[in-house]
Amino acid sequence: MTGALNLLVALAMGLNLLALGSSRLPSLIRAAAVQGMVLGVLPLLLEHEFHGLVWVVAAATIAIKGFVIPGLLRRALRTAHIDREVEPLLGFIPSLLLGAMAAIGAVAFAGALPLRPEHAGTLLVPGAFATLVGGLLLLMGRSKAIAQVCGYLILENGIYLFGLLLIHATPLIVEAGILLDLTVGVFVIGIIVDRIQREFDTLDTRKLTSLRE
Amino acid sequence: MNLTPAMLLLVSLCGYAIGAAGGMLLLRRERPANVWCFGVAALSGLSGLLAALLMLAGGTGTGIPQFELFRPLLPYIHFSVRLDALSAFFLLIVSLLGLAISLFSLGYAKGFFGRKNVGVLGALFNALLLATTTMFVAGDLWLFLIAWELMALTAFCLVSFEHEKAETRKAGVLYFIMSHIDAGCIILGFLLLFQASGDYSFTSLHDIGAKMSPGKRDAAFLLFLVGFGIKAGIVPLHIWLPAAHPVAPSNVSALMSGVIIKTGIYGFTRVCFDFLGTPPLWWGVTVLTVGTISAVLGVLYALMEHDLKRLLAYHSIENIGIILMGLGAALMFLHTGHPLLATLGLIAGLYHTINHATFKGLLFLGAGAVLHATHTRNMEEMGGLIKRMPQTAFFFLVGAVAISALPPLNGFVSEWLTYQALLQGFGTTESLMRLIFPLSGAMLALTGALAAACFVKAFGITFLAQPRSAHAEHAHEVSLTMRLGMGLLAAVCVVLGLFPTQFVRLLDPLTQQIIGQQLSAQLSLANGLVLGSLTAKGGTVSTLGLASMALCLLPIPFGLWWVFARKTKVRRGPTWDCGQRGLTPRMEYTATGFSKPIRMVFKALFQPHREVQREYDFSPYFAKNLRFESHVEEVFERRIYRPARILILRASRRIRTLQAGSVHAYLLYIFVTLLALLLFAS
Repeated sequence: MTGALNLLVALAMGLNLLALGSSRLPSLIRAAAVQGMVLGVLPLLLEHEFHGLVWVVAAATIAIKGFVIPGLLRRALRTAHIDREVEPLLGFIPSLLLGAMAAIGAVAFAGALPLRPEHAGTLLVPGAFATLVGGLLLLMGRSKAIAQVCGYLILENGIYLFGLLLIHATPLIVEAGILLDLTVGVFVIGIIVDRIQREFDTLDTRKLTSLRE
Repeated sequence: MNLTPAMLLLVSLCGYAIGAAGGMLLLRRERPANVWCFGVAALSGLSGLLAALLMLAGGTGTGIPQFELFRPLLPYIHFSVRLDALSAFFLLIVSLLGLAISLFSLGYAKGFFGRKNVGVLGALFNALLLATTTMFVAGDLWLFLIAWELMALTAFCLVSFEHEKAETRKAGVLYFIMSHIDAGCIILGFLLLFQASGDYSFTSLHDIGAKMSPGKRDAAFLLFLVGFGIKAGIVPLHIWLPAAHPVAPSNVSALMSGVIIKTGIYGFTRVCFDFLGTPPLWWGVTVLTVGTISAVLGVLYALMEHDLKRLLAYHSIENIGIILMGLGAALMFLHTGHPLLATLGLIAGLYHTINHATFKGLLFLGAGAVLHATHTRNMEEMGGLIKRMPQTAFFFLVGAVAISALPPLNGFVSEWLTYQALLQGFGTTESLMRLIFPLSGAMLALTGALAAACFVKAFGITFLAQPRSAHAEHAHEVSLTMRLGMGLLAAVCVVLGLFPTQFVRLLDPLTQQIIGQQLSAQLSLANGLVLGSLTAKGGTVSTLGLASMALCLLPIPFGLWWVFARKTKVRRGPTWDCGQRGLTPRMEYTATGFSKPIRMVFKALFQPHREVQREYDFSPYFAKNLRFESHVEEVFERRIYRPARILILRASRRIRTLQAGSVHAYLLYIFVTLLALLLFAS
């Protein structure tokens, strides 16, 4: 069980690096989507007794993170006529280096934390940290709004991983609520992206500086 | 039905809440709003007054009433109310002033009809009284701090009530900033105390200073001194006070000067005497020095004012200084192990607190009545009002005599007690104390003399001689309720002055609770007719005796006239006018002219700016017009606050570059903060 869990979390950490290294928007969206699906499987591995709600939430997570949200983003790409280039503020190589450093640092840092014995052997905590940092790096280092949405998705995945630590303490209905929030959030961003595009003829968030004050 | 203090207190609190709610409901109907808000506030004040008197008159035997607010609504947080003797004493002050000022407001608020929303004024007035009363009776830190903050906010709204004037807005913002600095200091101080006790209730904080390390204890003391000092208005933290008091509606200024600045004294007494334990010597020395400086500078700046309400505001600073002199002396005596003398100092300070509340409330109400009648605060445009408003003039005179510490009124009693406390410090052994006590005593004497000079000016220029402007010419006496409010406070001034030994007995439970001593028996000589000062060598005084002596001597001049001059012929003629025919009000002594000698003596401090311009046609010796301009700027404004403001603005501009407008930069800040917090926590 722990082996499979660690494998999936490691896969998610690898997808972080893939997302940081993607130079085109569709591949970035795909990386975020696959990561979401991988994490959607995790509750099935962690939960000891299988009741209906777990299945429903896992299926909903996979469906929403793997298909609905990427679908929304791709539609935004199409309708707003956005170029496929990512246009990084922070170069790909530095991003990758920072992401890798974050992964190593996360493992070291998690070792220093006083964790409960059943979590100590897993990659859950380092994976959560690495994914959080990866998401934040994407948010900071990419200028296009769509890329930032992907960063936000990955950030949320990191928070979700943390949430799995408490899976026995928090009811799954809370997770379901977070999922709903996320969907609505991306939905709204999709609409805003369209509006910004129509108003300013660009989606470059760097141009938004004139809106301060 | 048996009335208990707790029940009366609850009635009072609910009354203020109902008054505030009624004001909000009657926003569009000013007459009912006026009667409802201020009527309910007066009744609530009366209820609170009874609660405090019952509690204090009960002596040390009665238990401390305690109950919790909103018990069913808040399962985790306890808002406990505790009416111990110190709280009861300050409840007495706020309720007495609340009653008198509400009566006054019934008439005063009519001046706002059709101009401003009286419902808002009444609601905020009730809310301020509610917050202040709650703050005085709070039994834990939560309730205390929440009430403290609510008090600051409602007071800010009331100061800015006439916000269409730029001066008012400026003063309001200044008050807002200063009151948040003080709240910040107090919260930090209480956190230090909480660290040692681990509990929020005031009972657990009692004598907590003994458990703290000396460094933290000193830090807490300094934070409280600054925090409560801003609220009380000590020099040099006072700058909000002369700005905010004049621009507020006069009933609000009376409440602020009478009660709100006393909240600083309450907090300071509560913390220093109840929580922080036996003080080191330098605490007392600091408080005494700060008090002395505040007293002297407050009265000196008051002398330079010709705005009646600003003058009174500066006098508040002076009187806060006198109160702190008593409290500082008490702290020093606690250090040297003289609990009896410490009790004397504490009694002097607290006695002066209630005295200042009554006479300053009275004087601000008087100034409000004058303002109501003349529509100006500038004393140079007043004059001759004693013939037009005789009762107001009489009440103002009572307040002026009381604040100038002339016997037999209440200001005299408390300042006399302060002198006794200071002079008896001379008998102690420590050389520093032998030096500092007589110096402070001398400064207190100087303050008293200057205050008397200042009120000769304030009363003389405002009420005597001929009217200096059309405003004063057409003034007329104010309404009955306004006179009733002033009359109540004037009567309290007389009672507190004539019966000091009886009043000191009310303070027994308080000193017993705080220091563990009761002095009323030792201070009361000759069946309570004479006030003593502990030792045989100290002085004694009897205000009742002085008053009756004055009454007995009063017939003598009449008798002499009757005996010798009854038959002589009376001849009436014009006042001698030096040969310049026809005296006009323009030749009267002005407020500026009256204070000129003092301005010259203290030139080094005031650094007055004066400018004389002559307009002439042929030769400067034949001037057509003279223009004279003179003003005094506060030295703290120039030397401390202006450089500080420039520094802060410059730093803010530097920091503002952080606000680049780039989403990525903001995300970077969040990221860096998160990382720093993670590293800090691990």
